[in-house]
Amino acid sequence: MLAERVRQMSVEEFLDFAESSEDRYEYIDGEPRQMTGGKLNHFTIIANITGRLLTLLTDTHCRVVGSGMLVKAGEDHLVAPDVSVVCGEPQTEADTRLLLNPILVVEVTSPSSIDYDRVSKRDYYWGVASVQAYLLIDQHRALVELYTRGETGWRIQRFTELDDEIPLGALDCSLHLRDIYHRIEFEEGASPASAEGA
Amino acid sequence: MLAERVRQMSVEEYLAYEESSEEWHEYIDGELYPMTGGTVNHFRIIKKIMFALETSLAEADCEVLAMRVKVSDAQFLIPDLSVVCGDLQTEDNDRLLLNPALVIEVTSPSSIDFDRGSKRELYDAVASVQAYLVVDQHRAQVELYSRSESGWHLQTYSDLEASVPLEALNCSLHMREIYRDIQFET
Repeated sequence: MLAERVRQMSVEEFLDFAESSEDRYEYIDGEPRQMTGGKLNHFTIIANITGRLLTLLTDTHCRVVGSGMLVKAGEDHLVAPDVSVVCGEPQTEADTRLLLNPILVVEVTSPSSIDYDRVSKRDYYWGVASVQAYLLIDQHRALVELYTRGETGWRIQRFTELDDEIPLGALDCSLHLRDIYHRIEFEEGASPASAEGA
Repeated sequence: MLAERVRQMSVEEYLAYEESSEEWHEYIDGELYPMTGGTVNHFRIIKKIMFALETSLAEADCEVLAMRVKVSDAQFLIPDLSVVCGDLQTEDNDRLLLNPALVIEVTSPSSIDFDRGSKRELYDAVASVQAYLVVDQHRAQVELYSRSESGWHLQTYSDLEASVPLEALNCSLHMREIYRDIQFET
């Protein structure tokens, strides 16, 4: 989710600015970018995934980190995935305000941000060497894209059936679409570029 | 390339409208998207790719086309270039191409996220498409999306010495060929 740009600042200035602001921001190309507010489906999906991952990862050395945690993706980008998972010791900077080593990041997306999330965020997360998988979840239809890090680039898998199972190899577990979309009702005609019915 | 949507039409209305219209539109789920005007770099890059592919594929049973592609009954896209191998499958008096093996988009800043995101997803529905190439006209960068059994593989090329492997066509495109004589704005 993103809105318009404000002005150029350093990471330190940004963190001070974000600290004193009531709104939430990401830091993109050296500029703060305000995050837009989400809707009911958005927050329900985040809770569904968080709950499911917490259960699946109970007896592992991995932890689920909630919305708003800034992940450092290079010097010019601090991005806030909707959900992150860290395995082993979390590495942080700036008094634990910045997370350096998530293994999985999740973005729940809306039609206005889907291509930004698909493309620009995907590029930022590629720059975070610890990120083994990036999960992109459409809140308006049953569509999940799983980006898995390969040696030479991302592998992109697409899931659209509620019975589908999304393999999270790096976490040694899998998520079901049905669990992700638990209690979600889709609006009709909400997706401008749907490939369904092809 | 695409800009904002204009109007709602049925597929029949759309195809008839395109016959009479001077500018082409893409059609996604009832809505028309006009093709935006290309820049010099846009056309130069298309020309260079077309020339390189025509040369590489001279002996192959493949041909390079610039045609409207039917993605589904409700979706029609116009890639900058398509490559078809084997028998050409068309509909609507040869106006719609059904079976490209490779589709290529040369992107502008306004369309780049759409080209790399939603369009890639739309081409997923065209079973013949084995690879989708997104070529940036403002810097030397090419993204190759290749279909595999387990989904799409993305590889990014930004080195002018690199070559982009097109396995489905049994050939490759050299970055230097794509970007020869192209001046990037700074």
